[in-house]
Amino acid sequence: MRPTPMGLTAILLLSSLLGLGAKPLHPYRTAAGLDTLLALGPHVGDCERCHTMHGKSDLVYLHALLGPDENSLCDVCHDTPWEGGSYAGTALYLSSSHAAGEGTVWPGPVPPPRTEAGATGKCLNCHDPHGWMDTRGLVPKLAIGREESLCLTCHDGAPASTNIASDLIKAFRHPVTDGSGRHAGPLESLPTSFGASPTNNRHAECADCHDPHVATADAAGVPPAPALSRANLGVSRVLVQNGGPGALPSFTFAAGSDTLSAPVAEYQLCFKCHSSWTIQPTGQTDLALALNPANKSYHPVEAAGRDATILAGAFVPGWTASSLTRCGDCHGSDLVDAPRGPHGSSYRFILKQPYTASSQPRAMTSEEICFACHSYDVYANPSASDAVRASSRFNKPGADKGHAEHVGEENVPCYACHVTHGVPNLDHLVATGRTPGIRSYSETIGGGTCQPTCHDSQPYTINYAR
Amino acid sequence: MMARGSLRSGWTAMGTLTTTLLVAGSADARTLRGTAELQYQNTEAANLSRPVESWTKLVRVDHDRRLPASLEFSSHFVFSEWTLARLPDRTRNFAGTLQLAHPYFGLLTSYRPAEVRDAHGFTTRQQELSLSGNVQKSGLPQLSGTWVRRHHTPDAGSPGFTSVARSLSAAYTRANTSLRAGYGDRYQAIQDAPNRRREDHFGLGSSTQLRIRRADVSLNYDFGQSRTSPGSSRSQVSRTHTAGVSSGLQISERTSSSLSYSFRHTKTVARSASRSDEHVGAFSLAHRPSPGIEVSGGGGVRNAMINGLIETERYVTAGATAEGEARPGWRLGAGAGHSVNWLPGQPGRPMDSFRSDTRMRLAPGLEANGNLLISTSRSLAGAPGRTGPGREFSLQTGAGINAHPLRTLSMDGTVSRYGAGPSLVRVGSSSTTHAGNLRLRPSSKLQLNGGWGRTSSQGSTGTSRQGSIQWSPNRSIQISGNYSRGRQESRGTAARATSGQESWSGSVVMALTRDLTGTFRYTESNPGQVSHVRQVNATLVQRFGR
Repeated sequence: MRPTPMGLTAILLLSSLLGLGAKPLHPYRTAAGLDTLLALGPHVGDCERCHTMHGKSDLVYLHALLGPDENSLCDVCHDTPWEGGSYAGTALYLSSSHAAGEGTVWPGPVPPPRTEAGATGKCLNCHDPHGWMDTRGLVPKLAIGREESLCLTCHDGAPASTNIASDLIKAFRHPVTDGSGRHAGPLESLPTSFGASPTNNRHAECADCHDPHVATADAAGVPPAPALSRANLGVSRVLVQNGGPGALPSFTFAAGSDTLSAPVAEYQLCFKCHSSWTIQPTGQTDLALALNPANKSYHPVEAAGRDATILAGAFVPGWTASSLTRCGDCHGSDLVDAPRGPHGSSYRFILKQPYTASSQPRAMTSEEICFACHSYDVYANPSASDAVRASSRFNKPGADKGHAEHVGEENVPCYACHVTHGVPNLDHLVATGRTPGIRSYSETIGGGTCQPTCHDSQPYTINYAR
Repeated sequence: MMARGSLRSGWTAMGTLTTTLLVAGSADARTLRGTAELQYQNTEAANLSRPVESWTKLVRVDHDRRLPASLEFSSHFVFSEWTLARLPDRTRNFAGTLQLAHPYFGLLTSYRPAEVRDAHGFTTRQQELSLSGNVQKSGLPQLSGTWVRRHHTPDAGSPGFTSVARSLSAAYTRANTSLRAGYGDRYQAIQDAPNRRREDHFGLGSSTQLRIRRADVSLNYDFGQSRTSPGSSRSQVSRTHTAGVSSGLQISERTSSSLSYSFRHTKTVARSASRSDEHVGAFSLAHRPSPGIEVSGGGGVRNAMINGLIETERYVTAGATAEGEARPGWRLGAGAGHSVNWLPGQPGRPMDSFRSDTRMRLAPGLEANGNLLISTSRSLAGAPGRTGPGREFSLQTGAGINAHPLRTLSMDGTVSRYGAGPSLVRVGSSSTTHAGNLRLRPSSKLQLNGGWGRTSSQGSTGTSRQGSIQWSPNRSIQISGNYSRGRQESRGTAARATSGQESWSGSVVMALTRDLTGTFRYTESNPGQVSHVRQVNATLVQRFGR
């Protein structure tokens, strides 16, 4: 193997740095610096809780500590689960990925990396009991980094294999990196904590969806929908109690501690920001209202869909009319080996695959998000055989315009005639009022009538019984 | 072939580096620590024809060594194997990490191969090799870079898959200005598949902090570009410019103001081009006539997504908050806000909110608290998910009590209610939650906890009960037990459905020697139901090293 120019440059750079007689960069590790730091944080006056000057026992521990320099020393005081909002106690922490994982070790450079044996899973990888200061002052929660900058030090591909950083720089993303200081901590429990008005508290920090003391990998694979991934356990959510179609739902806030005993659904986490529990930004869909299973039609997030007799051929293999889906099936990274979760995507609405929310005529492709579950050949390919297209009720063999012809020949995109999440008063997620689109729609047992903006009112008959 | 090459080169690199550093110079070994763990688990379930027995073996070794010239070297190795008795299922994982740290630079490499054999004997293998490094010295730019390669070896069930991700970033701070830049790319290839996916992104930005008279001003600008599948028919390019200014001014001792504005322009070019401009700006003025009282007002612009189009919404807001101690031990807080939001060409939509909270010490060891939040708003005509315009009220109330009648006993109870509808009287939907907890610690060796909760709403009722006991008769043994039960009852128009979950568990943890710990746990869930599960778990953990 020949050394590359880049490799030689790196070796030269490192060699020159080594020769400079390096001194450790610990700006606050002086007596005066520690005094300043401690005075700002919650451990002020607590020196003797962790250190001893006079050796009270036969054992002598590093840094004149009262016990070994590890988590058991922190546990002496931090022994009440959930007291601070996100630390659920020793037992749960030990089963989390950060404690039991392969190598949760702070990699540096600021503060310096942890290199001692047994560093894996130590509280000190993310917290400094004395506090840590950045340009904006003391970092809250005695953490050594502020908000996402702490998490992304590891979760940028190395040392943690989950590369969240590459999704958070994409054009469409949750606003993790956009603001700072809005997240008040894991005890946020009021609708206004996440509301857009009157004070804009909209935020989505890592800790709003993940509890680093509890989160763990889904060792047995992704749990079936609607269950929440174990990577999101220990985080607060809102439980929805639905009323009739179109009626405002009611909510119950559930603290993070509740996720460990009760069945937990992923959408409950999303509803913290994307439902009328909080004050949403103008124009944003109230997803609790749209996904209400009492609606005439809805995507099957909270309950299986209403139309149970759709033929299996109408779906992509793996999906059926009785399938449940989760928000994360459509919203997430556009890369296949990226971590799950709607961190960011190259596509608008943080969709995994492209989709244009416009009814203007365009040729849809098989890569668009709708066809991740709904068969492209059935709904958009007029060249597919009658037998294939017959899986849609609106593809009657012999009729000249069905689903496939509308989409594949007339360039009518799904958006022109269908809403995405749910609709209280119309079947089949039919959308009205869009231009081009459907002005009115009515249904009979064997078919229906559609009055669109594109042509005169047309009756149709269905392909197989509803 | 590629996989074997990668595997071999990963092992070779790690082996060489470890050996070199272990024997290097006048190094003094500091520590070698680790654990060896053996776990047995037996699961019986109503839906299993026979019990499932599994074994887990895990070995973790950590080592660190201080080298000359302020260098520190550390290594972490973990091997785990999970097998099912009398069945082919097996999972093997290895992770090795080598780290070299210096105040001016750091290098880290890790290698993680994994092998999974399923119930049919099919084996899948994947490997991940990563390298990362950073260079930093005061007065010079800080550089960091990563290289990560993942490979899935082709097998009978799936094609081979390779991805490589690289990133390089630099940051430099001089006086009040910081500059940043980064580049990253990712490549994915599925064996025998025609499409190979590439993406790259780069960004650069700067921030400046200024002090203009009594005002702190911050300016920032960032540019980012993401390209997906460049050069192919599926290519997409997104370019984003973000510029922002924020300022805070202390006008007088009691009056302050702040101003912030951020503009984001995104242009996406795929088969067609789309642009969006987003404005988020806010101005606020706050005055504190006395400690604990604040009146504020302001206004601004923000984005609103209306039928797929981004529009700029304007708003003005005014509010007042008061907080203080009404009497010793009785704290009161209240706030009211009014805001009006409007879109171009549409009438304004007023929104009002009122909140109040209180905390009162009734007696030594007895404290009560309460909160109330009322908001009313007018929804946007034709907004997604809304049937039409109208006034909506929401009400959230809560009250709680905390009691510590004895040093060893504490209790708390809460009741909270949520309601929403067209008026405060005609509530369209509502839910009520009651919860109570009790903690008893008669001695330092014994602890008992209990909890109860009930939520009723819209014709359904859910109840939960849980209790736990923890007893540590001496320093080397800990015995604990847990019980929980949940029940959900839904009443529809004709049918009544109930569902429930019940589980209990007991565990014993014993320190057999100073470094050997044994744990035995028994868990039973939903007895008598189709989801009945009984599980026995025994674990031995041996620690070594110091």
